[in-house]
Parts: sequence; C-alpha cells; structure tokens
Amino acid sequence: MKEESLLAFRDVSFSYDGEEGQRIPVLKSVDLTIEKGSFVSVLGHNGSGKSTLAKLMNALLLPEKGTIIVSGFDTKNEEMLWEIRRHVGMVFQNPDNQIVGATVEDDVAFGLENMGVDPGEMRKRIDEALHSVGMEKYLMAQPHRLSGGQKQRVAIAGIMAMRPSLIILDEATAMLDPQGRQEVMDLARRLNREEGITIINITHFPEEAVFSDHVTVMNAGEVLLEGSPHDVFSQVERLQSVGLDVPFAVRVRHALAAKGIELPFVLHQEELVEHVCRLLLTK
Amino acid sequence: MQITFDKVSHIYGKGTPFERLALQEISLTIPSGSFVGIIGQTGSGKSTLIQHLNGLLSPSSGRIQLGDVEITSSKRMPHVRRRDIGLVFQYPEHQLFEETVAKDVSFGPLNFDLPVEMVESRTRESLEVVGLDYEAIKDRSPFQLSGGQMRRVAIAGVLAMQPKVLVLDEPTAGLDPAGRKAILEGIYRIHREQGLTTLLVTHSMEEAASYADYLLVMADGKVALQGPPREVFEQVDLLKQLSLDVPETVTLVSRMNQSLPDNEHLPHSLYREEELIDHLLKRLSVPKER
Ligand SMILES: Nc1ncnc2c1ncn2[C@@H]1O[C@H](COP(=O)(O)OP(=O)(O)OP(=O)(O)O)[C@@H](O)[C@H]1O
Ligand SMILES: Nc1ncnc2c1ncn2[C@@H]1O[C@H](COP(=O)(O)OP(=O)(O)OP(=O)(O)O)[C@@H](O)[C@H]1O
Ligand SMILES: [Mg+2]
Ligand SMILES: [Mg+2]
Repeated sequence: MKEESLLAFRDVSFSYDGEEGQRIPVLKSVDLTIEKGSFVSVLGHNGSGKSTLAKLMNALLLPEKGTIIVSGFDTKNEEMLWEIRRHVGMVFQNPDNQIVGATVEDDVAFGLENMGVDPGEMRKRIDEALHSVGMEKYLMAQPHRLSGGQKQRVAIAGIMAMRPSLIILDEATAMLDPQGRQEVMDLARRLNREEGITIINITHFPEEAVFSDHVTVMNAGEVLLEGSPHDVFSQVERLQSVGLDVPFAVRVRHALAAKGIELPFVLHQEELVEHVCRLLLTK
Repeated sequence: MQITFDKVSHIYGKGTPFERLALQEISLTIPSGSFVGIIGQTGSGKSTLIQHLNGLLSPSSGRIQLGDVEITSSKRMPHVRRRDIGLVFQYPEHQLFEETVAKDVSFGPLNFDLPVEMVESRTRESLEVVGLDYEAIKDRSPFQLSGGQMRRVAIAGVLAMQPKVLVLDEPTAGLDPAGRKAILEGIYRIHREQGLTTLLVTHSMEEAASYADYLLVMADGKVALQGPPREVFEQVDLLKQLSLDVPETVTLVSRMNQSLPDNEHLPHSLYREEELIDHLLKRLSVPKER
C-alpha cells in the first residue's frame, strides 16, 4: 500500500541575501517526500541547511526555485499561509525561549486565542493537549518552575492544541539533561504512533534516529543519503567523512570489525550485548 | 589557578515574589590544573554556579577564592582580573555583537591592548581550534551563521583571550559530532599545554567521562555527589534519580555482566569507549600462533 505523502519538496533551491546584497546559496535542488504518519530524522553537519529546510516547510521562507507542497497546499500560496502554519508546528532548541504564558494553561491557550477559538472549545483543546504530553497536572504551574524537558513538552502541547499534522523538532533536545531528552523523544514517538502525528526530528544525536521510519542526511545543502536507519547507519565511513557519527552500538561493532572481529549488523545496544556475550562464551 | 567556594549561596530576585534560592551553601575546592566536569538536571544551578567565577553574579553569602582574589557579596572581582577567566555562556550566540566574525573574535584581546599583529594571529588560531576556516569566515556577519557556527565563533572569542581558567557552559550543545569532538579535543589540548584550570558544564555523560578528571553533580542548588568519573558513574541509581544517566559504555558493561558468568565479568572501570573497545578486542582476538 502506498501511503499518501504529507509534504513534498520538488527540486527546491534556496539562497539567503547576504549583507552586501550578494546571494548565499544554501539548498541545491532538494527533492524530498515525507509520508503521512511517518517518523523522520534529519541529520547533517552544522550549516548543512537543516533549519532552512524546516523554515521552508512552514512557509517562514519561500523557495527560490522549485515547489513545496504541504497537505496539498503550495507554500507560495499566501492565502493558505495560516493554514500551513497551523498544520506544521515547530519546536526549537532553547526551552526558555519557547514559553510565552505566565502559567502552563496560558501558554497552551496562546495560539488558540490568536486563532479566535471559542472558550468552550478552547478548554477542551487545552485539556486534551496537556493530557497528550502528560502535563495535565501542571495546568496552573509557572513555566519557569519546570524542568527543561517539561518546558519542551509544554511547547509541544501548544502545538498539539492547534491540531497539527506535522511537528518539526529542530534540535529540541539539545539543551536537555538525559532524562529530559528521553521524555521528549518518548513523547514524540507516542504522538506519532498513537495520534498519527507526522514527526520530523532534526538532531545531532544519531541515537535519536534509530527508531525512525526514515533517515535523511543533509550535506552542504544537498540530500547525501536517505533510507531506513539500517541502510543509513551501515554506511559508517561515509557518514564519518562528512562530520557525522553513528549510534554507539554501530560504532563499537565497526571498531571490532576493523580488527577482524565480525558481528552481524546491530543498531541497538541490547543486540550488541547479545552478540558479544555469545562470542565471548563460545571462544 | 585554585578555586575555592566556601558556603556560597545565591538568591535570585531577593525580596521579590520571584525570589529563588539557586545555590545553597556550596563548598568545594578545585585544584589548579584540573579538568572538572559539571553535570546536573536542568535548573539545578550549574550556570548560576559558574557565573560567579567571572563576576557576572556575586554570592548572596559566602566566599569565593580565585587564586589570590577573594570575592564576597560586598567584594567584587577587580576588573583587570576578569581576563584571567574565560567564560563561554550557555547561549553564546548572545555573546556575539560585532559586524564581522574576525572583529568579534579579536574584540577581547584588542580591548586588553595587545599588539595588532598578535591579535590577528590569535584570532586565526582560535578560529582554527574551533574548526572554522579563517579566510572563509572572517568577513561574514556573525548573525548570519547557522546555530552551530555561531557557537564556534563565540568559543573562539574566549580562547583568543588566553585565559588561565576556562569555563564552558554546554559548549557543544548544537554542534555536529565532528565539531563536538574537534572542539573538545582542541580545548583539552590547550588545557594541558597551557596548564589551564577548566570547568565543563555538560549534559553529555560521554563528554564528562572522556575529558574530566573530576566530576561535580549538581542537584537543586547543591553538590549532590562529587569524585573521579569512575566513582561517580558507579552510582547508577542515584544518577537516574537526579535525571541523569551513565555513559553508554557503563550500561553496556553492566548488561554484559548480567549475561556472563562471574569469571567472565568485565571490569566496572571501563567507562570510556576506547578503553572498552581495547578490552573487548583483547578478549575476543584469537591468540596468535607461535
Ligand atoms: N539569515 C541568514 N543569512 C545568511 N545566511 C544564513 C542565514 N541563516 C543561515 N545562513 C547560512 O545558511 C547555511 C545553512 O544554515 P542552517 O541554519 O539551515 O544550517 P543547519 O543545518 O540548521 O545548521 P546547525 O546544525 O548549525 O543548526 C549556513 O551556511 C548558514 O551560514
Ligand atoms: N535570572 C534569574 N532569575 C530568577 N531565577 C533564575 C534566574 N536564572 C536562573 N534562575 C533559576 O535558578 C535555578 C538554577 O538555574 P540555572 O540556570 O543555574 O540552572 P542550570 O543547572 O544551568 O540549568 P540548565 O541545564 O537548564 O542550563 C533555576 O530554577 C532557574 O529557574
Ligand atoms: Mg539548525
Ligand atoms: Mg545552564
């Protein structure tokens, strides 16, 4: 069964305007398809164009060449701008910059008020959204009293209240402690599985990508590699040559293989433990 | 430079409804030349702690000794000594302000009246340590860079000052894997060559394990645990309670030990990835024929 695509880039190029009016080319002929309901990870070196890609997805930027279609709408269609922004929510790095309300409730209400949603419907959506991120007990809490992971979850609730089709996490876990990172990733996976929200996770942590359906690797404004986590992470040397890395288990297996100790391909630590233990015990 | 905290507390917004006790009677000693990793949950007080080192924050009570300088609530750090302490902020993009990258990095050294030629060579060197190509980036506006590029420029600006104490607040957040490694290796090299005292705040247990010789674990404005990485990473349950974790290496060793008979156990001291790999290679390699 071929799934419906939610978002498509067709031959998209983009340049920024430099200080002296010169053009700074950033994306070069990018073709990309995001299937509805999928969990996609985007990796790439600093400056490879990941955030630019994200801003093009919700029409904060417009392509210089080519077309971007989101939920059937061309992002160049100004009349659909607000519709597109509602469909595509974004969460950024710094948890302290994401929250605008004085309480968690106010914060989630903010976008709805701007949309002119009526009070009864608003109440319902706020409760649903906070429930879906597991923060319903913090309705009246002051955001500055929350941990970094909780703040990011509240930011995601603000988006969920808008009933989005797609949530883009642009390094949303970069400033979080290990538990906060885990909370946000667990939440993203759950929203994807249980509520059918399409997730695009832009990250520098290869470990976050092992559970995705699809991995896209950007390099200097172009798509270098894409495919399943297995397909992408088995290309260890190719990734390392463009400044990227692979998950821990893949790295350890690769280091052993380099010295002639061959194990089957693994993505997860549990599989590595199993294979190495077996080898140790049969040796 | 030896650093001592003696019962240091810090209260934000004292006397306002937002009053917050962010540090509670912290006492600790950091010997000169050490490389200290600071880990702890978001909001545990890591940034508050280190901002006391360059006079950005003053203690509400208690005493800090930085080499021969004493700092208390009424005694601030003398301006001339601030150059000894290089602090890279948690959001270093806020530290950038000049029109070009080269001007930004050379601002500090110029401000302390170093000769122009020396400033240029330091600027070039510092940008290279953080993995940026001097010629390609020197005339660009720091505000038109990607997140990770801005972070590198801000770190270069602090390195160019050649401080005696280097304090880095999550310097690698947002950097790509090669950038992370290159910058930390660069910092580690400078740390050793110049005999610096270095404090690294990080959420990465792997970074803490690889570079620090001593760890401070912050929780709720206090130091909850301290010691060499090997000892700290043995406290798996406590670390998890504090929203932290252990390096993947440590999890791997304990998982393997659960599946292996006692006489095949791996040592718990394998908390660095290279050491783990060396150990596995030794155990798995077929002994050479004589
Ligand atoms: N406002 C801007 N004006 C000019 N150039 C820009 C601007 N923003 C970004 N760039 C340039 O565009 C390129 C891509 O930037 P982008 O922010 O998309 O990278 P990224 O992959 O998100 O990087 P990072 O991992 O550091 O966040 C970089 O070379 C950057 O210097
Ligand atoms: N300017 C401020 N005014 C009031 N409270 C503050 C201020 N800055 C920090 N705090 C509070 O002080 C506590 C410690 O904050 P701090 O920034 O030192 O934590 P941190 O350990 O660096 O966290 P993170 O890992 O998120 O960077 C937190 O509860 C925070 O909300
Ligand atoms: Mg980015
Ligand atoms: Mg901090």
